[in-house]
Amino acid sequence: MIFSSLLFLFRFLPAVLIVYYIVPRSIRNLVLLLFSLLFYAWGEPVYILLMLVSILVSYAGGIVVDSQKKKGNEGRAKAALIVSSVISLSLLGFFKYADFAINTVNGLTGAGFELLHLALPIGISFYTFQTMSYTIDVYRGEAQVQKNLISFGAYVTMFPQLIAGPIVQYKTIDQQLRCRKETSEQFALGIHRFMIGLGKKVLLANNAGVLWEAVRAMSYEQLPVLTAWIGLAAYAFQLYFDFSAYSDMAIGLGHMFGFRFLENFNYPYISKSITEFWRRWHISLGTWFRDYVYIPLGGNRVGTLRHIRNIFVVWLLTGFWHGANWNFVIWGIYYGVLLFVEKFFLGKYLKKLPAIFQHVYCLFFVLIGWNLFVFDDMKLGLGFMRALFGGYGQGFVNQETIYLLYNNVILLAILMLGSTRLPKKLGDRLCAALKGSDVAIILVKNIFYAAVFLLSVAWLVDASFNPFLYFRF
Amino acid sequence: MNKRQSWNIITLFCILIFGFTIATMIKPDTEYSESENRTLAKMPELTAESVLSGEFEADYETYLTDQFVARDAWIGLKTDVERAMFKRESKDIYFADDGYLIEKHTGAFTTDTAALNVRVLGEFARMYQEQFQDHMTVMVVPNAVDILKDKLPPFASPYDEEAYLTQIEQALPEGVWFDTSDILRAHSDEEIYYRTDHHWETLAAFYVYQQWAKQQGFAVPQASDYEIETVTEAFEGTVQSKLGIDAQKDSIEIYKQKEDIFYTVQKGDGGEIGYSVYDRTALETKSKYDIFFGGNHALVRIGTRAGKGRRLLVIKDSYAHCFVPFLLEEFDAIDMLDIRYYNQKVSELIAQGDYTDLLFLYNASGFAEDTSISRLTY
Repeated sequence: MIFSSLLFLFRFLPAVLIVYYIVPRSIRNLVLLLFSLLFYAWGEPVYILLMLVSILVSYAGGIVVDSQKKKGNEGRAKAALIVSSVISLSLLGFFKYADFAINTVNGLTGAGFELLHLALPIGISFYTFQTMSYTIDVYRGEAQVQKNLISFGAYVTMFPQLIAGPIVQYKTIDQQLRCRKETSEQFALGIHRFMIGLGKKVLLANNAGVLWEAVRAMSYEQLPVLTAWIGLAAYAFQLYFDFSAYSDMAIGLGHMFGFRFLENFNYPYISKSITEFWRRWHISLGTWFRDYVYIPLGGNRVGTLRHIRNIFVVWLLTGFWHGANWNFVIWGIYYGVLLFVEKFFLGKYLKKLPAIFQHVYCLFFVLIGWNLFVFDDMKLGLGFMRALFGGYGQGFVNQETIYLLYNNVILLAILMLGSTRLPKKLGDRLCAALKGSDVAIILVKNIFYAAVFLLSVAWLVDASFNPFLYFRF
Repeated sequence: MNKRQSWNIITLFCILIFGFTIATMIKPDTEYSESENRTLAKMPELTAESVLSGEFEADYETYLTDQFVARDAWIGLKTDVERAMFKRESKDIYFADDGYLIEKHTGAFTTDTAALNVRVLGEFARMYQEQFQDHMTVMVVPNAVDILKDKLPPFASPYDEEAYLTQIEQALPEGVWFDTSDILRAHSDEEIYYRTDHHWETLAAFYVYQQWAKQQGFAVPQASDYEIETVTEAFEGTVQSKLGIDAQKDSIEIYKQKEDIFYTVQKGDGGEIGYSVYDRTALETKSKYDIFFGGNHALVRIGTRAGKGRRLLVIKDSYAHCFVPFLLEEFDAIDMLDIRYYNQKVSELIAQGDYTDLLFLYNASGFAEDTSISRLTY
């Protein structure tokens, strides 16, 4: 099930809210668990077993690790951690990467192994990372063991963040799972976040997606430079507004049930360097790799060569995490190279440039990155990249470019401004101006959120373009 | 945020979420959408099998979307907002000048089906060339997007249908292709396509008939030879339905022979015999273009007292519906075959029909997208 659907808004959400708030506090985690399982099972019931296995493995892993540590058996604790991590990673590896591996072997050796054609279980990359972080944190003593299977199950399956993140580390919500107090203020905050997220997804991301798909479907040999860049920019907007909208909705829904998830996006497109971009983009993933891969490998507190190795290991894995395909691997390595160059050479010169050049530099490489990211078919991707640089001699603009531009001028303006802090600043300033008048603030806010909601419903009823972008993750 | 503000937004949220939930639950299901001209999804059957396969879940979502309260109003709201944002198109439909809603047909002409249909039609024409000689005509009528180019939004550059029509012409034997594009283009400032529907108007069919009659050696009629009746001024066609907005309504005209002529119309073998090509009950419904022959039928057989000794088979889509009434005085018999609904062999029909003439009449995008064209040569 996805949030941006009539089914979620007008069947699932009202049901879970009613049940959650009428039952006694003691069984609210159970309610969340059951509804989350229903949410996950909708449309793909079989893979729920896989998720349950994953939950049980890390649940048991956590208990064994904890008890062995308490007995002072460091070695056995470590062994238990390794076993549970290997099982989790094997499940992820098998379901996500088996066909990729078979394809690669076939390609290298000419063998004809049959592909398995498994449908990727939705969200497996997200929940595998969550369960792994839990057992590792228990082993490190950074998280308490969770002996209540229902609470642990609720953590892993929790529907707000189940299928597209953020990746919630267990230690950050351990206390909230044990005892939390839902308040009207937090619920209202959640509504704001959810509505914003819904509007970002349905009204902005999907419409940017329409523009991108229009360009993507064109013949690249006939693409003038500007059309290609408009298309790529539209994709960049689509991905950002889609992904961050999911995080907004997840955080908002979390608030409605009394949880506080960490932020996942922080205006990535206003970054002045690639290093900064990755501190602002998909923060929970970056944090995960930092905490569980980069730092354990020694991070930057090792010799230069090992430091460089660590950077590339992390970025290779980051790329590969996004999908079982070579283009994701290359995309990851691409960022590894960029970050390496920034860290060791470019960084200090970059900072001396006027801010505008820093922005242009960063956006240019991010956009080229999305070109690598979006095309599974590398040949198509290279063809598109050639069009970006005028490699087909189609000039800078044509009729179609002008048509696309003036048709999407308002949309593009909203997308650009929406990628910056400006809307939030204006909103805050408006509220400050209205300070003292509760009624005015209530009126402005309610009209705004109701409008966003109603327009989103209109787009959903029309069943317009509404893709789910994270099937590959 | 203080408590008062919080409770206000919570109240609003609950009204929206629960309000629409309850509304969608108590609203009785609508079987058929008049405005969209299609059957809406019904509540899917709940079985263990359908749930496990994911089929139930997918169907249920379609059901929910199709049966949503005030469905048409939501769709209209979306289109209105798009227009307010300077968008000159929505759902592959241009908001063109003078209130015209014109379909783009993006991609329709570059598919495998489009290429296959050209080949099949060429093969079909060669199969029957010997039998019909120069009594065989193929007309594939360009769509509004091709003829009404002047009305399109500035800088719009849709696919050039003429390129596709040229492909068809080249696939046909000499003398079979009848070009309608130039005839229509000469009248592109007149009312030759509906503003809200994908069909051409009767006036367009009349202009084409004039030229065809000349070519065939029939008496070339003038508009004054007909009694032109405007049967409705409240026609909102299929293109408008996709957008759900208030559009300028169309009128439908029919060209009646001034002298009463007698003919019979039989829809389907063994169907009831009627005495008019017009079905005025269609005017009471949304699909008012169905006034011509009451819409699509697999086979319509018309018998006349023309006494010219010629018998015509028309293989057609609905563009032919307003064209065929002009032919009543020139052929003793006219059979209209809609291959999309016909599941017998075309070759057998032709073998049994004793036809002297063959007319193939489609609109360009309809032809390019039609997956039943491949059955022509069966």
